[in-house]
Amino acid sequence: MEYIINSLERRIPNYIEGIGELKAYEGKSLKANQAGKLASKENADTASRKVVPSLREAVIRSGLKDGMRISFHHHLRNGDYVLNMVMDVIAGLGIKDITICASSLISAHEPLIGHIKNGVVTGIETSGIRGELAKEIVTNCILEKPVIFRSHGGRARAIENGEIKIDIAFIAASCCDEMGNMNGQKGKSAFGSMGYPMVDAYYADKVVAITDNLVEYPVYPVSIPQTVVDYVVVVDQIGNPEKISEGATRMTKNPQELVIAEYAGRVLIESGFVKQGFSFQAGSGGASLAVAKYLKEYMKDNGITGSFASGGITSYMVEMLEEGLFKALLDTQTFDCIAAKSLERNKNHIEMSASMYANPISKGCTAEKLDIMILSATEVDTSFNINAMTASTGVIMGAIGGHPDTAAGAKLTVCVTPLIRKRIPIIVDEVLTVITPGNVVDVVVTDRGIAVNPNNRELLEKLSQTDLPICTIEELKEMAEKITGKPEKIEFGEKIVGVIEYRDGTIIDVIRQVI
Amino acid sequence: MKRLRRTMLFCPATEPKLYINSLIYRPDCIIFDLEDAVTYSEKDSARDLLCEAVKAVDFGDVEVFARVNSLDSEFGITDVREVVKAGIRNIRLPMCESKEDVLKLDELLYEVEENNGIPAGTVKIQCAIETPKGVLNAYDIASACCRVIAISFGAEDFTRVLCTERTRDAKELYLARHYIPLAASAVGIDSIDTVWKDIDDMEGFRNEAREAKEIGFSGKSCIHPLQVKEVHKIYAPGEKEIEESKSIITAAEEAEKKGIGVILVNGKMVDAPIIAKANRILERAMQIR
Amino acid sequence: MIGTAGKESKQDCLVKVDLRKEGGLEVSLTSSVGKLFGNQIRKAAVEAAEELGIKHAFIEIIDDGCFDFAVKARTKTAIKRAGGN
Repeated sequence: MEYIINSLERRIPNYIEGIGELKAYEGKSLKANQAGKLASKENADTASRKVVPSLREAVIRSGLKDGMRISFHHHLRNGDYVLNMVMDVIAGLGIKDITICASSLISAHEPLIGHIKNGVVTGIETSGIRGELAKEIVTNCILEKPVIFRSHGGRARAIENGEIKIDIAFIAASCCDEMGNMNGQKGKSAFGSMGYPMVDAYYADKVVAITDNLVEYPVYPVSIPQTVVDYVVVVDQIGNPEKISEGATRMTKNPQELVIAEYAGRVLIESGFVKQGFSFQAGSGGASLAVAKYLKEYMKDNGITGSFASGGITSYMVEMLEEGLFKALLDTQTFDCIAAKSLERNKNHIEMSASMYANPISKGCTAEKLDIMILSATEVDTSFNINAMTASTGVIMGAIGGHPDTAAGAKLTVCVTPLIRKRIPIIVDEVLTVITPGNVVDVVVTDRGIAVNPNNRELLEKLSQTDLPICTIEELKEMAEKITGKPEKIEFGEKIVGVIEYRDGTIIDVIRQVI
Repeated sequence: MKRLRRTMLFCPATEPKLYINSLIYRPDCIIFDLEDAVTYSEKDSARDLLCEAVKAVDFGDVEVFARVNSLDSEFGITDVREVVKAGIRNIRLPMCESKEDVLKLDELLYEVEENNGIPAGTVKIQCAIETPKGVLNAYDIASACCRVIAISFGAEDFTRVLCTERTRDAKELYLARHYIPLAASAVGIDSIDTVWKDIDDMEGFRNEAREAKEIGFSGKSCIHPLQVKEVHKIYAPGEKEIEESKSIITAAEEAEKKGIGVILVNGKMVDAPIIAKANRILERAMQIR
Repeated sequence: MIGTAGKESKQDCLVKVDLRKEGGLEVSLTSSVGKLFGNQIRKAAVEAAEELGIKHAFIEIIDDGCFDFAVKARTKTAIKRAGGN
C-alpha cells in the first residue's frame, strides 16, 4: 500500500482494493490559523450566502442567459406579483428568448403581452391562459411558437422525466428562512399548499426562493427544503392578499347550479360508489362544489366516512374533514385562506406535490386512487370528449388543470354543466378542443337531462331504473339546439397557436388562430 | 287522469331568460305576469315578449298561464286579444270579486276565439281571489262558467284591502284560506294557495305549504325556483303511504274475487272511500314518476 | 322616428329602430355571440319588421346572447314605439 500525509499530518492510503482511490484531507490546520477560530468554520459566510439583496442580483447570479427556460407557480392566483416582477427584471437586463414554464397563467399575468412583443419571451408552457393574453395569442398570434398546454400531471411528468429542463425555478413562498426552507402556509401572503413548485424545486438547475416574510431559521413546516434552494430574495410583497384568496369559498345559491348538483348527487348515490371508505374530488366552484353539499347530507344520514378527498381543496372540504366525514385531505392546491390555515392545524390535511397528485409515470399518483371525480366543461361533444379550455367562440379562457389526470384515474368520472350558457349550446357535435378524451368520461349531468356513456353499461342500467331524466347524449345536443338554434361554425386560420399535450406526452389536439 | 297543479311558478313576462330557464325546475304550471311584475312603461314590451315566446318556445307538459292586466285597465283587453292570438290557452284573471268579473272575460274570450279560428271554450281561466268580497263570492266565481279551472288566493292584496297586515301565524287569513279550497272542491276545480314572499325563509315556506296541503289546496304559488322542489316533495305521497295503499287495493281486489263485502287491512276496516283514496294515492304516485 | 326597446343585459338585447322612407331594412349588430348566431339574430329582426309591414328601417341591435324570439319581440316593440303601426 502507498501512503501520503494529509494536512493534519496523518498517514492515509491513497488506494484500497475494492474501494478505490482515496483523497487526502486538505483543510486548514488549527495551528496555521491566523484569522481566528471562526475562519476555519464552514458557516462563516453562510448567513449571507443565499440571501441576495435584490431580484436583479438573483437573476444575474443564477446565470440566466438568452434561450433558457424558467418556471413559476400560480398558487398566488390573481394576487401574484412575482412573475411580473421577475420578468420585468429579466427584460431590464436585456435577456431574450426565454421560455416560461408556468403551472398556469392567469389574468394577473397580462404584462407578459409586452414581454412577448419585445422578444423577451418566445415560448410558453402552461396549463392555461386567460383574458387579454389569451386573446393576443389566439387572435393576433403574437407568439411565433405554439403554446404547449399540459395538465398538472403532464407537467410533472415532463419535468421529472427530463423531457424539459428548467434552468431556473422562481418560487414564491409566503414564509422562508435564510437557507431557503419554505412554505406557503404562514405569513401575510399565505396561500396554502406548494404542490406545483414541489416538483420544480427538485429538478431545476437553480432555485430562487422569493418571499416577503423572511423568518428566523429554521422555518417549519418545510414544504420545500433548503437542500434544493440556491438563492433567497426578500421583497416587500409577493402578492396582494385580497386577491390571493377572497375568504372562504362560498357555496353557490344559483338555483340552476343547485339543480345540476342535486342531479349529480343522485347519480353518485345511485351509482353505488358512495360507500364506506370512498374517495372524492370536485372542482372549486358552482355546480361542482355544490355536489359536495348533497353528498355530505347523504353521508351523514347513512353514517359513511370517506377515505380521502383531494384537489383543489376548499374550506368546504376542510369542514367535511373536521366533521369526520373524510379521514384525510390530499392537497396539491389550496383555494382559499381558510383552507390554508387548516394545513397547519390538521395533521390529516396533507400537502402533496403535483407529481404525487397526477404524474402518470411516477410510482403511483393519487388520481388513480380516486373513486369519484366531478369535472366541469366549456363544451362536451356527442363522443363525450370534454373541452375545458376554449370557449365556443374559439378563444382560450380556461385551463386544463388536473382534468384529464383525474378523469383517467377516477372510477366514476362525472361532468357537470348547464345544457346552455347564455345562448350557447354546451353539448355539441364536436368540441373545438379536446382536453379530456370521451372514453374516460362516464356521465354528463346537465340541468335538463343526464347522459351516460354507452361504454358504461352497468351505470346506464342502474340509472335507467331511477326517475332521473336519463337520455342519450345526442338527445341532449338536440334539446340544446332546439332552444338556442344551431350555431354557425367558427372560422379558424391555418396557424397553430397551441398544442394540447395529453398526460402521457402525446398530442391530443391543437388550437388554431381565430380569425 | 286529472292534471296536477301542485306548483304555480310566477315569472315576470319582461325577462327573456325566464322563458328558457323556468322549465329547468319543472313546475306543473308557469304564470307569465303582465300585471304587477311589470312597470307601466314596459307593459307593451312585456306583452310582445310573451307573445313571441309562446310562438317559439316548447313548454312541453308545463301548463302556461298569462296573468293579464285588469280588464278595466288600458292594457287588459289588448293583453287578452294578443296573447290568445299568439297561443296562450290559460288566462289568470286578477282581482275577481264576483261572477260578473269572470263572465266579462268569458265573453271577450268567445270573441277572440272566433276571430282566430280557435274552438269556442278552449281558453281556460284561473280566477285570482284577492279581496274580502272575492272570498265571500268564491263559490259563485268558481262556478261562473266552465272555463274556470282554478281559483287562487292572493293574500297580499287581501290583507291590504282588509286594512291589516300579514303575520307569521296568518290569523288574518284564516277564513279566506280555509274557504277557498272548499269552494273549489264543491265545483270540482283546483285551488291554489298564496305566494310566500320571503325567499330566504325556506322553513317558513315549507310550513305554509304543508298547511296548504292539509287544508285542501291543490297547489301553491311559487316565486322562486327552489320553492317548486319543496312543494313537490310535500305533495308527493310518502313511501309508507304508497305501500299502505298497495295493500289496501290488493286486499280489496281479493275480497271482490271471493265475494266478501267487508275488508280488514292491518286490523282496520276498509270501505269504499278508503279504497278510492288508496287509488288516488297510487295514481298520484304514478303521475309524479 | 326612433323607438327603443329591451336592455343591455345577459340573454337580452337592446334594439333601436329608426323608421325611414327608403333604403329597405338594414340591421347593425353588436353581439357577444355574433360569430355563432349573428345571421340568425339579423334574420329575426328583419322577420319582425316584415311581420309588422315595415319596409324601410335602420335597426341597431346590441346583443348579449339573446334568443331569436326576444330579438323579434324587442324589434316589434321598438317599431311600435317609433310609431310604426
